[in-house]
Amino acid sequence: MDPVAKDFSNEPIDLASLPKYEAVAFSSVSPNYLIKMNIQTGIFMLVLSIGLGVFWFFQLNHLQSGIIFALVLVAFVFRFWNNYKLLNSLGYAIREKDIIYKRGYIFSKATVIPFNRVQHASISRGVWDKILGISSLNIFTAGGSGSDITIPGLDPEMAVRLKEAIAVKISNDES
Amino acid sequence: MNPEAYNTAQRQSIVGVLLIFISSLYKLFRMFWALGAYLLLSGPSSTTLIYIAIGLVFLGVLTLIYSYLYYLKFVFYIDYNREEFVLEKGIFSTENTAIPFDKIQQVYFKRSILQRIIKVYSLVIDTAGSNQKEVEIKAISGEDANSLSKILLKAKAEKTESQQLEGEATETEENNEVFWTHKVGILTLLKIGISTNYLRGLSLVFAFVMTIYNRVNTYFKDRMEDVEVYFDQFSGVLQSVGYIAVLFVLLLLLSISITIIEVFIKYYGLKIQQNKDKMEVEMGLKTNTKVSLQPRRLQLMRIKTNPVQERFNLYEAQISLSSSENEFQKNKIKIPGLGNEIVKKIKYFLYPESSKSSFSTTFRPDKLLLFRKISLAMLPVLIFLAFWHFTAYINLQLWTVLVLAGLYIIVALTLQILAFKARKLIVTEEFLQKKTGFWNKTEETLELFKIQSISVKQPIWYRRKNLVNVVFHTAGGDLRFYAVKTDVLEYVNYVLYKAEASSKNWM
Repeated sequence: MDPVAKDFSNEPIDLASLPKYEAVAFSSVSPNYLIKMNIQTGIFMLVLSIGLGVFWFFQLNHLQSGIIFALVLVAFVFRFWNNYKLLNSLGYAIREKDIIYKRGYIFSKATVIPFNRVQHASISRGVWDKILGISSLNIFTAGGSGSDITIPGLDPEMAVRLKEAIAVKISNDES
Repeated sequence: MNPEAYNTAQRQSIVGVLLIFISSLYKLFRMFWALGAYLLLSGPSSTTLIYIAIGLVFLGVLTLIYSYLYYLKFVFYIDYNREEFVLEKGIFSTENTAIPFDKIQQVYFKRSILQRIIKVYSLVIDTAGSNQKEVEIKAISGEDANSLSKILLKAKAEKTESQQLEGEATETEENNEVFWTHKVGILTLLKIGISTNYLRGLSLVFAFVMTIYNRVNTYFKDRMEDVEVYFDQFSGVLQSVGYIAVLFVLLLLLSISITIIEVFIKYYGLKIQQNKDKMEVEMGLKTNTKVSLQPRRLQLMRIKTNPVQERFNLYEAQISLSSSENEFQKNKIKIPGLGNEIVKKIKYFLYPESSKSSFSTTFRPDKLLLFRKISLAMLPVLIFLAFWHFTAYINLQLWTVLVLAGLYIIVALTLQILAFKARKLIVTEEFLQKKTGFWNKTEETLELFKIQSISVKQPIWYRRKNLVNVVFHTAGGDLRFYAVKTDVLEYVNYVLYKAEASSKNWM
């Protein structure tokens, strides 16, 4: 017989027995990330309010400005609420062969990247990240930008550990 | 050369500060030139001018300090233990990137005029994927650029050698035996030209009918008022209808010939040739495109047709390849005018295992998607009605408006329902296939292990209905399927398993 056939097997696969990505326990990110989101939303709100205030000072009567401010207020209450929900929805999990990242409350989205498809990883820290002691881990693949993930609000040490773990996994998978 | 060179943190060439300084000044200038021009043109007093000058000098000094700090913080080195190239940069926000040796696609130099003047190079380290993912060291001396690129390329070669060996053993065997050749003749090109832009032709027909209608309409109105000049006017109408018909035929011919010329320029001399392990595609009149397709580099394949072209036995194949080391080669290629049997041959060559599969599961989208598509399709009607009702742009009778809107709604509804019924996702043992389109039929095929990652999305209103949108990301584009039952997750896990268990190289 053909020698190739000896160590070749092709067992049927039971789909139900495959590991389920959706059943994994996720680690959540630092609550400091909520502070960062809220600071950013707050700054945006401040700028917008000042702009509107100037506009109001010159142009509008009380009723119009009242309505506009009420709308802005509602929008921002929604934003803050959404930030809170977003933080709770953020989660990542590392399995033996892939990394899973989920985010979003209203539009929830989970992305799974097998380690043998990772091109490289990087850590980025913005100004607020430094003040709040968090950092972001970016993982790049060869797919489009929708295929890459950025996990925010990680403890800096954790980010470095994750990055190194991924580096090891990438090179292991190649051999 | 020291084998462990660049293992400690390196900075760019010190003149790099100058480069950073000048480019930051340029950025500032681009941001504020309008303001500056305004200040100067408004006729400033001498005190204002002095203030502006002081401000500018201050800004310059700040930029210089920023440039120097940026230079200090821009550090790169090679980590030989982890076998990766590391780059750290940024003052306020920092970024730390590591590229494993074996993921390096290519290393090359670039030079702008400024870099030429201060005698530095830009060293670019490219990884697979889009152009934004490259790493660039903007100011490095020629010597460093050379040795660094040599080390990286050597490390990359060493790291990838072991994997390539098995592959190359078969590739080095020169096997130029041609299995089959397919040439697309002039007649087929003509057929493609005629059948591809039938929409343009169709809109011309529509315009023609509308003008005729208008003419006849005005004629009949006139007739009511004046019976005596009946024959006169009738012949006049006939004449003008004749003119319009001639004009219309000319336009149609023009539209078709333009398309035919386009098709000829792009695809003249289209030739496909299959060897043992690759397929060569050659085409083009002005610029000759030549692509060699290897099954290994294939990412995503699309087959397109429509009923008119189907009758002519014309199919169009769109093939996405992973970016090759040769940057000038195209990554996406369109091959029109293929007969059904050629499509089969190509498929068989690119996907030799496609015939056997132990299972095949078909998914269809939920009605929710149809509902959404129909609502979107109804938007133009609403806009049209709003325009008609609130403005004077559209001057039509009520019944014409109703007839037009009704016709549109019927056509749009039928098309949407038919398109919705045609939409399906098929998962087999090795492949993923998405079929869409009732008129323009598209069939996308993706080999499971070629995915880069998978995203599963669920807007909040899908949750109760247990629906998800799935996106399979590949290096040649995404394959999306919307509003599908969560049963698909089982297959998402299966695709992941296929990618993770496979030792085959995806590119």
